[in-house]
This record gives sequence, C-alpha cells and structure tokens, in this order.
Amino acid sequence: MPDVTHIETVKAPLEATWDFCKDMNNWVQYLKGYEKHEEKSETDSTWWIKGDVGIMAKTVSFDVHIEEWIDNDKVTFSMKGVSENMTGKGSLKVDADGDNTKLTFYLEIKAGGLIGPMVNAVLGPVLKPIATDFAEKLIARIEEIQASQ
Amino acid sequence: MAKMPDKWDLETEILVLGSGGAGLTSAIIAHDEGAKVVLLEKTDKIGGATAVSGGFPWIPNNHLEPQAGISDSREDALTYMKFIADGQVDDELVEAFIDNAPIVMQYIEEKVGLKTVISEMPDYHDGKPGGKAKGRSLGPDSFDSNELGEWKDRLRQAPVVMFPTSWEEYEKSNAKADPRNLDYVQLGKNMMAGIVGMGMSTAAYLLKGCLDRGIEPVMEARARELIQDEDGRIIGVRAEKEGKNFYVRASQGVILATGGFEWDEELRKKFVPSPDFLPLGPPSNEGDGLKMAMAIGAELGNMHQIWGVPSCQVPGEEYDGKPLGRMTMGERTMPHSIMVNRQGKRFVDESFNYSDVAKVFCDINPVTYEHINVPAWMVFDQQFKDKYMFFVTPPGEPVQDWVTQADTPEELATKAGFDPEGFKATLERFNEFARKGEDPDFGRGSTAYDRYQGDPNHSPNDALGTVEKAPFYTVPIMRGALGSKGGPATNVNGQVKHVMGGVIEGLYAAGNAMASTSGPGYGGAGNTIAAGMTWGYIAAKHAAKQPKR
Repeated sequence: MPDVTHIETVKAPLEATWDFCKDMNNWVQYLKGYEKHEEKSETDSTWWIKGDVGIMAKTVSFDVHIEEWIDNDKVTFSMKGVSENMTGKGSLKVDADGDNTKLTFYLEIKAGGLIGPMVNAVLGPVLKPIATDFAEKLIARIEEIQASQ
Repeated sequence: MAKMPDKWDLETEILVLGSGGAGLTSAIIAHDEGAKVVLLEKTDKIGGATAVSGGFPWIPNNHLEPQAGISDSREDALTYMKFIADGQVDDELVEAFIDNAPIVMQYIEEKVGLKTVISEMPDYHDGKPGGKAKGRSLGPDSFDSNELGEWKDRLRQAPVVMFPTSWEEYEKSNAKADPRNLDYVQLGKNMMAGIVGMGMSTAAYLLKGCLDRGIEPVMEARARELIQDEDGRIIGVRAEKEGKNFYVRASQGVILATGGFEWDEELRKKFVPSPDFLPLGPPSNEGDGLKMAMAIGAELGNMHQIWGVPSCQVPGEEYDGKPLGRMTMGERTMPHSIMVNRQGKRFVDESFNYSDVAKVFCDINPVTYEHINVPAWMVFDQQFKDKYMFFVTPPGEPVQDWVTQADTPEELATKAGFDPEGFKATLERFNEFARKGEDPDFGRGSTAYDRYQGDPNHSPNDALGTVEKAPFYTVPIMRGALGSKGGPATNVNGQVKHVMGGVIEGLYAAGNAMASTSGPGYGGAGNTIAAGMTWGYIAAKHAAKQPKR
C-alpha cells in the first residue's frame, strides 16, 4: 500500500505548532493539487485535489473524516474517494524537541478494486514528493506566523 | 523564410525533427546508412504519438506471416491498400509503402531488437479483396525501460494504453472481454520494475536503437523555420531552445517527423472542420512541420483526413495540461452496448473499425445542415456493466459520477437529452436483432473484425447483446482523432513536393507530419505506426545518399 512518512523540525514551540495544525482549515490548502474543500461538520469535510500521477492528472474528491484529535499531540484523519475507488488515511503529529517541534506527517492512499494494484504502482512514487512539498509549505507558514509574533 | 545565421549551433548531415516512430526510425536508418544524425525533440519526452498508442506496426506481406502459415502477397497488399486509399493516393506511393514496410520491419527487428508477434487482429476491412483476417498487425513485446539508463524517465508515458506487458500476453488473456483474466498484482509489479508495454515499448525499442548508435536526442528544442540556401535547398532549421534561437545545419537533409496538427485549433478548424472534436495524440502535435513546410511552398495533401476514433472525455482528466480524450474500444464493441443520436436512433455498426465509424459523426442533413449524429451517446445496460470494463471501471464496481444512469430507457434518454420514444423503439428493434445474432440495419457482428472486438464467450454473436437490463447507463461520445493525417505531399523518396512542381530539395516528411499514403482509410491496427516507420526509413535512405552541401 503506498504510504509515506515525512519528519521535519519546525522552528517554533510545540504549542504554536499545534495551534496551527489542530485546525484542518489552516493546512489543507498546502496539499499539492488542492483546489477547494467544504466543511460539513467539525469532523467531516470534502476535499478536491488535482492529482498528477505522471501518466495523467485528475481532480479527485475525497470525503475526509477526523478520526482522532488529541490536544498537543496529533490529529488523524481518514479519506474515502467520492467517485474513485480509493481510500486513505493521514496524520499530523507534534512532539517537543527542545524549543522546537518535531512534526511527523503520515499519508497513505490506496486504490481498491480489480485494477487497484496497477493504480497503486503509479501512486507510490508520487506520494513522497507530495509529503515533502506539503511539509515544507506547512512549516514555512508556521515559522512565518511565529516570526511575526 | 528564415535568415541564414551567422553561426550554427550544431552541424550535422541529416537532421530529424520529432521523436515518434517516424523520427526515431529515420534517425536509426540515417545513421546506419553512414550519415551523421541530429534529432530534435520539441518536448521533454521521447516517443510522440507512438508512445501513447498500442504500438503495433501493421505490415502487409511481412516476414512473420509465412512462418505462421498465413498467406499474403504483394498483390493482395496492393489490392487492399488501393481500396483503403479510395483512389486518393498515387499508386506509386502505395507501392512504395507496400514494398518497403516489410523491409523496414525486418530491419528494425534484426538491427534494433524490436520483437513482435502476429496478433489475432483482423484488418479493418478484412472482407474486402486483399484484406486478411489475421497476420498484418504485429503486437510488440514488452521492454525493460531500465535499459534506457538515464533516458528512462524521458520516455513518454501513455495515459490510456499502458499495460506493462507484451501484446502476446495481453491478447492471450482475452482481457478485452474479461478484464478479470489479467493479473493486476503482477502488472503493478511490472510497472514498479520499469517494464513498459504497447506503444511505450515500441518507442523504447526505437529510442534504445538511437542511443546505441550514439544518437542522443536534443530535448526541448522546437523547430520553427526551415533555412534554405540560394538555390532553395533546405540546409537547416531555426529552432528555439531555452528561449533562444538554436540553429542546426544539415548538409544532406531535414526530415519532418513532427506528428500531426490535431492540437492546433486554427489548423484543425481550417482543415478538419467538425462540430465535436477530441484530439487524443500528445498535445505537442501542433502541426509544426506542416507550418514550416507551408511557409516555403510545400504542396499539401490529404488535409481533411484524420485517424479517427469515437471518443469520450472523462471530466477532469488531463494529459500534459490538456483535456485527456479516451478512445472507445470495448465500451463500444462489446455486447450490450450501442450508440444513438439525438433521435435515439442507432446510426452505424458500432463494432466496426473506429476510424471509419468516426466518419459518421460528420454526416449532415442536406436540407437543414444539421449534424445528424452530433451529439451522440453510448448506451449500455447492467449486463454490460456486470461483465466488461468501462474505461477504468471494472465489472462489478460502481460507475463514476459522470455516467448518467436510470432505471428505464425512457428515463435515461430524458436525463441525457435524446428522444425517449425513438430510443425505446430503437431498443426494441435492436434487442430483437441481438437475440437472433444478426443486425440487418448495420451489419454489426458480420465481419471478422467486429467479432474479434466482441466477446468470444457471448452467443449467438460475439458483437451483439441485448440492451434491456436495468439500470441503463449513458455517456456522450464524439469524434476523436488519434492524429491528423494530412501534411506536405511527398514523392516515392519521401521528398516534399513544391506546390509549383518538383520537390523541395533537402526536405523530407514522414509519419503523421506527411500527407498519409493511406488516404482516407485505415488498413489495420498499426497502420499509423507502420507508415511512420516506413516513410522514415524511405526518407532517411534517400537523404543519406545525397551529396553534402
């Protein structure tokens, strides 16, 4: 199953990092290909992401559900393709690292059904750059906010 | 006309523009004939329309047929090709293609290593004189793209026809009728391991052939103008690379292998007017070679013809930043599926060869000038959905939300926008035919080709099945183009003719950049690739014999 874990240090204290990460509305737009999202409740939303897997690009919508939300620790979510046979999950976890914060981003996306194994072969190589790009943008924003305070 | 530069950035003997099947073959042959070769590719990917295709060369009278006990001959091939060309192509050009195609195929097999097998695929008019039920469409083996080294990632990715396996394995599996026969876990592993199949394989073999000869394509170099000497002979091009002029001199010839013009809206509207049109080739096919040739007075030919195919556009899908068109095959040819127009009426043998079927989208009512079959829809029922692949949706899985569905035919027609009463009558009539296994209206299922594209496990006719089990499904379908097939007219040497007579010395054209020697027709699966390779071969052989200037 295609998945990726990206760990990076944020030059901001844990509380400030968590304050940003705890609200999905703050960071979903940093996902590569983000087009829009709609909040349906405190725990549920729909994301529209234009995914480019090398062989083609397509806008895919996911129903996203916040599975777990632990203050100053992590937020985990699950994803289900609205019209594509895809599921996924992800998390943002924060850990104190002196005056800084260790940020761990995990993302897993899996295509199901008969041709799922072929789709997953295409998805695998694109997840790492997605995670790296996301983490870089997220961290830059957190550090920008921190610097302005 | 471009000015002579003060300084050439590169100097060679033969310059090839474009890296599809025609361009890569030209480069290989020119090298093997002793010429120094430079190949310019406009994009950052190698393979052109060949890479996104099935990868078949269609070679009448080929060297593999006798080994397989298949009877073919030059005479049969000529008879058939002249039928296909419909009197619109000079006989000597048809003969040049027929005489050289088997030679180039055997040469590429022996000297480049491109392995093919005879497919079960019939010619697209197998029942016509000289047509064959099998033997001419040669399916490519798979290729390990790791053999390309650092060029591996430069190979153009096929967005649709991209099974990473050999044609032989694919065909044996009968996956077109039952996609569950393929081992998708293994295919996924093949992809991860760098195995490519179909058109990517053919393009990869040819690229390897170039690299083995020391020909490294110059990437992202778009030729813009041909440069002539004082006698009018072509001696080079002005290209653009990294935003600057890039001049390449060619002392023996320039071969235009830049693909078709199906993505250039202005050229397309001028030469291939069509109410609906969906290009399927790489978006870089913008008629660069055609425009350069027009600018210096090339004679043009076959300009209003395309390698057509009824196609769909899945909303939101893109390739190279442009809408991705998907050609229909099983969606249209398997039992339990039909096409209808706004009156809810069928209008063609849906299973017949895609290029000729696509022509009926241009039919007009002579009184009203209304396009009779635009818009059109493909309709299928739950029987189809239970058994066959619908684009990327396997049997048993729900259709995507762009597909309209309903519980009754009338409701489906109303939702989609075609006449419910007409559609109801069409289904009643068609279902009666399907049960009998005969289609007196359009002859669906009456040719070897139709039946090949159907389901061998379906009876009484592989191509005919009732459309009667709810829910019913429909999607819009339109005229698509695998590529345009008009361009500079050439002689038997591949030399571009001048509109005022004679040839433009030093200028050649091959593949979809030239006026196709198939005229309006499509001989069989791989006619496009065979023409590209063959005319690339002919042009390169001739150019390499020219005196250096």
